[in-house]
Formats: sequence, C-alpha cells, structure tokens
Amino acid sequence: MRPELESVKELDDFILRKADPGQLAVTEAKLILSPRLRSAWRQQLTVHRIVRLFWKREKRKELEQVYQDLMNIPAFKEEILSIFK
Amino acid sequence: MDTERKELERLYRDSFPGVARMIRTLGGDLESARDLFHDAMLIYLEKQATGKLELKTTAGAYLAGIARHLWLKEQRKSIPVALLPDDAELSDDEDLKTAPGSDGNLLRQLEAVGRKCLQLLQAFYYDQLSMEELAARFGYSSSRSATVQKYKCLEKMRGEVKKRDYHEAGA
Repeated sequence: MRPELESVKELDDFILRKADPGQLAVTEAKLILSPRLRSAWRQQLTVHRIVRLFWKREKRKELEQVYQDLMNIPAFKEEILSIFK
Repeated sequence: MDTERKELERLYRDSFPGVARMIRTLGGDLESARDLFHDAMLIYLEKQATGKLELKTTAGAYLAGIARHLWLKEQRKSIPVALLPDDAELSDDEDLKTAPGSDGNLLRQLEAVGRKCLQLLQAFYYDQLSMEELAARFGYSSSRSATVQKYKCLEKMRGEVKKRDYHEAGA
C-alpha cells in the first residue's frame, strides 16, 4: 500500500485498538507530536461516526421492511392487532 | 433471502409480540410499540455487531428490558422538570444528538459523493464481512484488492470531512 494508505490503516488500528500495545503507544506519541496527524485522526473518527449513523439508518429501514412483511402474514397480524384491541 | 435477514425476521417474530404486550400494559399504542422495538433492536444489533453483547437472558427478554427502559425514559421527558426526582437522568437521546443538524447533514453529503464507500465500510465494521466476502459482494478481484479499497474509502471519506471542516472554518 502507498504511504498515505498506511497512515489511514495505522489510525484505524489505533481508533479500533487493533494494534499491539507497543504500536498503539507509538501512534499515540505521533499524535502528540503532529498536529496534522491529530487532525487526520479527528476526521477519521468523524468518518466512523458517520458510518455508524449510516448503518443505523439502513438497519432501521430494514426493520421497517421486516415489520411490513410480517404484518402481511395473517396469523402474525392478528396476534399483534389483538394486543391493542 | 439471506441467512442474516432470516435471522432478523425470526428474532422479530419471536420478540415483538412480547414487547408489544408490555408496551400495551404500560399504556402505549401499536406505533409506540413498533418504534420502541426498533430502537431496542438497533441497540441489540449494534452490540452484537461490535462484540459487546453480553446476554444473561433470552434475546426477547433483553429486547423487552431495553424497550421498557426507553419507554420510561420517554415518559420522564414529558414530565415537567420540577416534578422529577433529583437523580433523574436528563441526558439527550443518542439519536437526537447525532441525527439532526451536523452529523445528519454530513451523512447526506458523504452519501452523495460516496454511497458505495459507506456501504463497504458498513459491511466491514458492522456486518463484519471478511475481506473475501467484501471482494465478492463489491466485485473486487481479491481480498487484497478489497483491503486496499477499504482504506481508499476511509481516505476518501476523511478527505470529504476535511473539506467540510475547511468550509465551516471559512464560513
């Protein structure tokens, strides 16, 4: 991988705590010393937050579809509606 | 239908009636029950996807517990603050903090420039697909190629976030 992508990987391993303790300490030291890397780290954290939001939104759509599918099954629909009669 | 979807349907079918009965007992309607159940499912599925799910009971009981907690939290919000006990939690709902405004807008912007990247990153971080599975799903020639693409996507999305920060700073 080219160096820029190695840096993305290093930050990702740091964010997800996937590297060994020695490597995590090295990355932490780099972050203290480099404002540019710190900025990249903050941006990468934001990407993770947005991916999470994207996942939640997509999963909510899927749950809504499952609900609609199940409510098309007469026995299930009757069971649910009878609870709220 | 894939296995994951079948499992989701099974969990829904097995757990929703119990949650609906509980919400009915607490005074809620079908719409509230469905919304709370979906919120509870999202919490459950996220914990499962990130390896933080520690079930000490059945999935159905776990979901009912979360839904009950969310229902009570909603009810507390509608009580005037002066009537709340001193130790009542007044923290915002997680979705309310993240969905509207900044992150919601950012999601729309990133989706416009890189929906496929968001799908790939979601598949890796939340659906926990292996690199081989990612390659097959997204049409890459090898797991190595999928790995590189994943980091390229992170880099691209990071660049978009950076542009937005710059825009905001300059605004």
